[in-house]
Amino acid sequence: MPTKNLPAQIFLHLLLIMGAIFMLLPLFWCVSSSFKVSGEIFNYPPTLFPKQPILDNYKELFSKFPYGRWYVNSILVTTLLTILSVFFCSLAGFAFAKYRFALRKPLFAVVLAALIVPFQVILIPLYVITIKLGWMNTYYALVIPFMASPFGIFLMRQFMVDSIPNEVMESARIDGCSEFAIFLKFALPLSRPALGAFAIYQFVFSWNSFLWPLIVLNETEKYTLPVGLQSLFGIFYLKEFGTLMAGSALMIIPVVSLFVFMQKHFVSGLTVGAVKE
Amino acid sequence: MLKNIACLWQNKQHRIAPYLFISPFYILFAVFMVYPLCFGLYLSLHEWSGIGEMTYVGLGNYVNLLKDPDFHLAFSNTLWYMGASLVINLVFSLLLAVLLNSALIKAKKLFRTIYFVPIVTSVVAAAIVFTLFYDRDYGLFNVLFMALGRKPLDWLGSTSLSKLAVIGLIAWRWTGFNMVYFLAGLQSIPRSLYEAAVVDGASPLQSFLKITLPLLKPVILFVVVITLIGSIQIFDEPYILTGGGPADSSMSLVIYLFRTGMEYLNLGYAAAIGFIIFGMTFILSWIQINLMGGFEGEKS
Repeated sequence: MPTKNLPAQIFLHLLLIMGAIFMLLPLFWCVSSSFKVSGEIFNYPPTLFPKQPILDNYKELFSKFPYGRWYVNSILVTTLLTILSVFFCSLAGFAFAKYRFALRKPLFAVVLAALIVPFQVILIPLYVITIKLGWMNTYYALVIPFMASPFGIFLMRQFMVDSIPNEVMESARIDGCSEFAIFLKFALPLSRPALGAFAIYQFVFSWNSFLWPLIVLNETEKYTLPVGLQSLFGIFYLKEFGTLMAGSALMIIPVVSLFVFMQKHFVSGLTVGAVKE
Repeated sequence: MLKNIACLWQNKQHRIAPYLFISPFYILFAVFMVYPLCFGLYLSLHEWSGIGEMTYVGLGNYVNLLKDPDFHLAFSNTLWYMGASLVINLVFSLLLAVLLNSALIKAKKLFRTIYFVPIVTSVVAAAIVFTLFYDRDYGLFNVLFMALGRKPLDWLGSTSLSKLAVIGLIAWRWTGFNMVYFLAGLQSIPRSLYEAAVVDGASPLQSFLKITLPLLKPVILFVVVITLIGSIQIFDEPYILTGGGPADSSMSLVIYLFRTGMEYLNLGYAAAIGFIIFGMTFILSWIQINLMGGFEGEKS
């Protein structure tokens, strides 16, 4: 143990607290401003808390704009994508982790290679394909192309290799369990931490996804939250900041709370394959 | 007899099961990843506005990119973002991780959570709040500046400051994210090494330089590569904060790709920019894979 050094300890804590304030300030400012009257947001000197908190910004958000609709859209797309991609990736990851079959190595190598392909290189061709399929302004375009996540299959495989004992699979087979039933009854429950990690990752990714929905959605009613909020920002530039802050706060809060509760899983998912133990 | 058939079926099922399990993934993968990649390459050799005939131009798009001043600007801006992100990660994220790994610090978990929160926040929402902070007349940053007796700055409206404003948002969002990798790396270094160093009379700086840095090298390398790759692909932050302006001073490669494809409807040219981005990413990944000794890290 290092010798106790109180002044250094206090100094380091102060440093961390200052950094933490800087990290939380935008979130605090966002929530605080959302309850301020328009003029107060630009007060000099700025006020930390609203002098007279109001709900008008929130009312305006829902009454003048299809914000509620965007919210529902975002929840729908995010939930669908999360469930489906977790299912497909864990199914494939299970096959790679627990079966010996021809083509196993080359097929998995293709997935690893795909990890380095940036989305931007397929952006334009995917846009053309989306038009050809008649998927513009639909949620198919936001969900289906992203269900096969190379990161997801990689994560699930790495986890399942060690966490599902072969003996359990063998005895299940002797009891007459089908292979798919083994997946559902043993593989999925035993991989809960990895499923959770990937689900949160996918949820956060989808909820915040901006570039692709911006390209695919051009009907106001179909917008997801980031695209909708950005369109309001375009209309309001430097005017109705209170409403923008209300919209931002409602968008940030669910994901931040989800993260705070589930951070252990989220972080363990991120570091899979990055750090050798 | 019946039992034998059941056994046979089970055997057969065992053999085809893995193929059935991977097939949905690979069908999706082929249609929405492999095919677009091939089609994109084909597209990048053509001139096409999305309707009518495609005109074959060979490597024309790539040759034109080399001569295109807007592309040069987007490229050099992106290099700025790459460089700045690298400094942020190697200075702030690493120091933060070392601090949060130190026995001197209390409430580690709370700090870790707070520093990580920005990455799960929507960029759109964060960029809107930062627009408020960067405002020339009322922004919080300028209020602080003036309190220090300095003149207010036009963060988003000046060609010399716009990139810096974008970098500020990037620093806020990504510092905690990369801290996680460094922390994971630091936690895998045995404490006994540090204890031995203390016994030998090493200063904290000496143990950092002689123990932490060398043992953290693979993680540092990993973070360097993902940071560089991530910054090549930067879009959301500058697009929402400045729209790439003023006068394209904060335009990134992906903003240029987006404009070329979506606004100027020059799809072949945009696809070619995509492949330049791919090429840069590929080189970086290749370097990383070689330096780390292939896919050794995989469990087989």
